[in-house]
Amino acid sequence: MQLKAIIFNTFRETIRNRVLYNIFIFIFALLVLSLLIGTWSLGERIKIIKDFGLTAISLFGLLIAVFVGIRLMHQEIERKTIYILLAKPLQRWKIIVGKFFGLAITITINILLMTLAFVLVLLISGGFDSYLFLGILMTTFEILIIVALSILFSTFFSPLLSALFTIAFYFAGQVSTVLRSYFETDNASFTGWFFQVVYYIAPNLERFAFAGRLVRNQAIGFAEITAITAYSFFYIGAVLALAVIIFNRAQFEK
Amino acid sequence: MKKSGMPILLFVLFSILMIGSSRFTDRLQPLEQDWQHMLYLPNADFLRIASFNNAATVADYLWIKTVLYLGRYHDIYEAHYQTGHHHGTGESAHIHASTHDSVATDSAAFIDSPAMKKLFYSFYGKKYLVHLYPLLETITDLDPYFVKPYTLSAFILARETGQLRESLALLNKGIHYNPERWELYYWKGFLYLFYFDDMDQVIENFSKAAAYPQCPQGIINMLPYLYAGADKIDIGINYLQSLYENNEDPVFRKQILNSLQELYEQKKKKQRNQK
Repeated sequence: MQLKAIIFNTFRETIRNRVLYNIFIFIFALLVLSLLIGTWSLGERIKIIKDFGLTAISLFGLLIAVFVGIRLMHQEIERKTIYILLAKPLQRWKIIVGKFFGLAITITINILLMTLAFVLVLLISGGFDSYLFLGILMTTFEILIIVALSILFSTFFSPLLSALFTIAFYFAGQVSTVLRSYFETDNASFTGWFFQVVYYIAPNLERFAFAGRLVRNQAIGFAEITAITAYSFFYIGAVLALAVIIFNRAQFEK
Repeated sequence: MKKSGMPILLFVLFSILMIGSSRFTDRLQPLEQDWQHMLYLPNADFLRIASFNNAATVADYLWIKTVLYLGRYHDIYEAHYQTGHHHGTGESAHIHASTHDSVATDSAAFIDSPAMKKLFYSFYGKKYLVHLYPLLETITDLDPYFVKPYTLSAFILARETGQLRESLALLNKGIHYNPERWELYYWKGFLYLFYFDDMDQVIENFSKAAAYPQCPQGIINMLPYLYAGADKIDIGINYLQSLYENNEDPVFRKQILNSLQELYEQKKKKQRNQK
């Protein structure tokens, strides 16, 4: 019950921040693109709309995850509402998990609305393919990892540092293949070992990049999808557990 | 401690599961070969813009990629060569042990010979190092003051792929941007010595390299013999004398003086022979 209340409150709070306004920008950009691109793309209009739509969903989701995620914990401390929460017979882990799920719901709704607009534009353009949903689902998992990371960093850093660290982890995750190619080439030296550690600590976001493969109609195996989904759940679980460990030890001075 | 017990346990559990699923996914998504990445190498102008003008950092990244690319090529070469070598040695060793067949021993020695190794290298180099030149070209376009790629071009590019003109073009580009680096003249001379057989260019470039105090003594010591061999002793004496007079570094001046003395000896020897 307490957890549900925190989730609902976080969701309401983020909605109050007008984060859903980005959908209007998304719809506008998508419509303009689909109208303009017809003459410029030399017959590749649908492909460009699909690529653009998937990228925009991912970017908007990422921006919300970083900038709303990092403020969630800090706002509680700044407004001193954290003392009200801590004064109640409430386990601290519920605050972290509740914040995560609250924001996760906001982002999921955001993505769902963007997907709806995206599907409508594709239906009008005559290029809708149901497998695009898989790409959007993977993008959602990717963004949820970023949400978990932003909550983790916001438990012990200022909003600016939290944003910096979250973005740094996002970029490190996007180049994970480079790290992998380094340590698979040289696994004997300290550098190789170090890259291997970084590879497992940073989220491997490159494996979520299904969009390009889906637009090109490349087959993606069930085992791969399952493994990546499991990976995202485990990663989020580990990050949230770490956030709870840190938050449990935090001292809040009045 | 008590209230953190469960989260710590969960953290460890999720971390183990996360690494496990990560390794499993790695098996499903094998890495592409390095040269497949090289196929899509964008040009330097694009990379400069895409990196928000942090071109030198992109050049450094591509340089590390190049080193790994060469490392992988070496592994592949070794693997191929060792397979061939293994068959040769294994088979030949067996025959050698049972029949003392000298032909088999000879063939194993032949596979082991530097000439055969060179041939294998050149074959695999041409096949797998096709992206080396575009990489070096892009790196030096992004950061023309990065000297190592130029010297690598003279050594690896020329030797492994036989792209001599490209190698020379890169060195000339390097000299254009870094005229103060002796290594570039040295490697240019090296190319002319071993691949173009142009002694005039060898002398010219080694002499230019020797004009820098950082140049190793070996190159300065080599100069008298090069000038003598090309029958240009007087030119050599003039050149080294001007170097000696225009430098204040005592160590460098001593090195030049030694070479000058050697050149005078060569001149006397030549005069004696003519008499």
